[in-house]
Amino acid sequence: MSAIALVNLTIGYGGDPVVHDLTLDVAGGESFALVGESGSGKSTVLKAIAGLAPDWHGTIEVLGTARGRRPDRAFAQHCQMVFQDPYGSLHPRKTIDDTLSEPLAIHGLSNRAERVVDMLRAVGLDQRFRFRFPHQLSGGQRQRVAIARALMLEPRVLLLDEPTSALDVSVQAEILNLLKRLRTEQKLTYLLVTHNLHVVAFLCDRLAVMRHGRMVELASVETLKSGQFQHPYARELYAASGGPSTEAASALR
Amino acid sequence: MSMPLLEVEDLRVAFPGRDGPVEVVRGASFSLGRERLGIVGESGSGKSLTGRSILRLLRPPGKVSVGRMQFDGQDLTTLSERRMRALRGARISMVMQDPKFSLNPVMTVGDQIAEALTLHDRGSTRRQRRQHVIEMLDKVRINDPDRVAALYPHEVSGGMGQRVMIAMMLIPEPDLLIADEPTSALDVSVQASVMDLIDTLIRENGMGLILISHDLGLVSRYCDRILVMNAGKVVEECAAGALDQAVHPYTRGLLAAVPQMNETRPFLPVLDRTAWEGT
Repeated sequence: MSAIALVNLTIGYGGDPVVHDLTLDVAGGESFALVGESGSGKSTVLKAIAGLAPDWHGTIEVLGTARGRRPDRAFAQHCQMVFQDPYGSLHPRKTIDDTLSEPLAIHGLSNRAERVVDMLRAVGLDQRFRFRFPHQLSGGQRQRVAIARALMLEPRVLLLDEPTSALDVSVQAEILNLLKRLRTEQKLTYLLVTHNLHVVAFLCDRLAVMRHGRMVELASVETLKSGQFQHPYARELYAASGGPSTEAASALR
Repeated sequence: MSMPLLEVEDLRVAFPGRDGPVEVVRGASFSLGRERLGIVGESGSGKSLTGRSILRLLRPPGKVSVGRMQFDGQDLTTLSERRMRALRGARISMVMQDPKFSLNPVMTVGDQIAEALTLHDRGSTRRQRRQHVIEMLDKVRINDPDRVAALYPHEVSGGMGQRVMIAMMLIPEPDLLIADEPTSALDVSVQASVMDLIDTLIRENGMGLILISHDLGLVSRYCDRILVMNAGKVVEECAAGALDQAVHPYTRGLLAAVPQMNETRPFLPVLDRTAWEGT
């Protein structure tokens, strides 16, 4: 069974559609990337799946269940989203403990304290951070909290919107490692949006290149690693990202 | 090498903290000829403050102290604010990170570029300036410069906005350009074209460039020499081509932490911050 199935999905924000006729199938346990420039509609796809962009038609299916246009509690339990900016996505006046307990309270789950403690451990945060506020944490630590919050309900699908682009390279490496480890440990399916092809090469199995709201190429990560794209735009993007590896990086090999 | 264009010795920047002043830049020294120097480091390394202190753009409560800071034979530390103003833009100019916040939203693009010219070259007529602006826009590869000159900043895209910034900064023909993360707010495909443009203009005019960035790949591609900063100190200085022979553990850690396009490592090595920081 596919984890995410999109059929002829067209999404808009009231006016002209931003995403046209997207058909996509992400298998269970797969890590799939949507890449493209700003304005290509990649984040809009995630928002539509998460229920944040209700103006769409077509079909959105997650784990075999079709998504409606209203907020859906059962749906939220299986599919959660992590946002780009850890500085903006955490409530500034709630402690980490409050932030992580809230989804549990909404879904009426018990053992909250225990689950929070376990989750902090799973995302590699020390227990002393539990009763701190977001402003007392660094960017990398905040992104760990955002990931922890998304995982509190033990979802099977995680939507990741540029999870590392607001972070420094060394912190990016930590978060990428974390995402990779969590995926194996909890058998998660990732749908990741990014403009960074290097991140895709590290974290994903397949990718779709988007432009002007349409998917121009669907490729495996092997294609990405060898740069054998078919579509001229995908090649352009590949070349602009510095090809197989930048001078600085190849120096290390 | 001929006489250096810029010499900085023992630059220190401090901000007041709860327990006395906190030094954010702790004794950075470097010199620069008519070449391309890259300063890399992560957030909080003091790289941007270093760039700003050269232009004396730091406002109180930030405190700058410097052993020696000379630009083309002039002592930047003792120059009056008036003389400094004449120097900014005309001799040393700076391109900031995000064109959205560094362009004046209520002035057309053409007028803003012309303003940069008016301030430093009072002799020219309106018509000459206009002509000059159009030529400059053409130089930064904006198609249809006549149309773009009449647009307001919100009407142009990010890449175009950054080109406008570059046009504005280069029109007084400075000797040194400080570019602080000039492409971080732009898409990858636009990044390369903006960097190529800066590179070409720098070479054509024989200027010096200080490129401040967190992106090792970018800096090694577009610079001759690289300074690596960490926690306010220059920890390593090397030729851009010799970045692979970098010896400092911080530099090596940074290099290794970048995922590769043909990535095979199951996990990325992570910096052990305790190894070289006193914290």
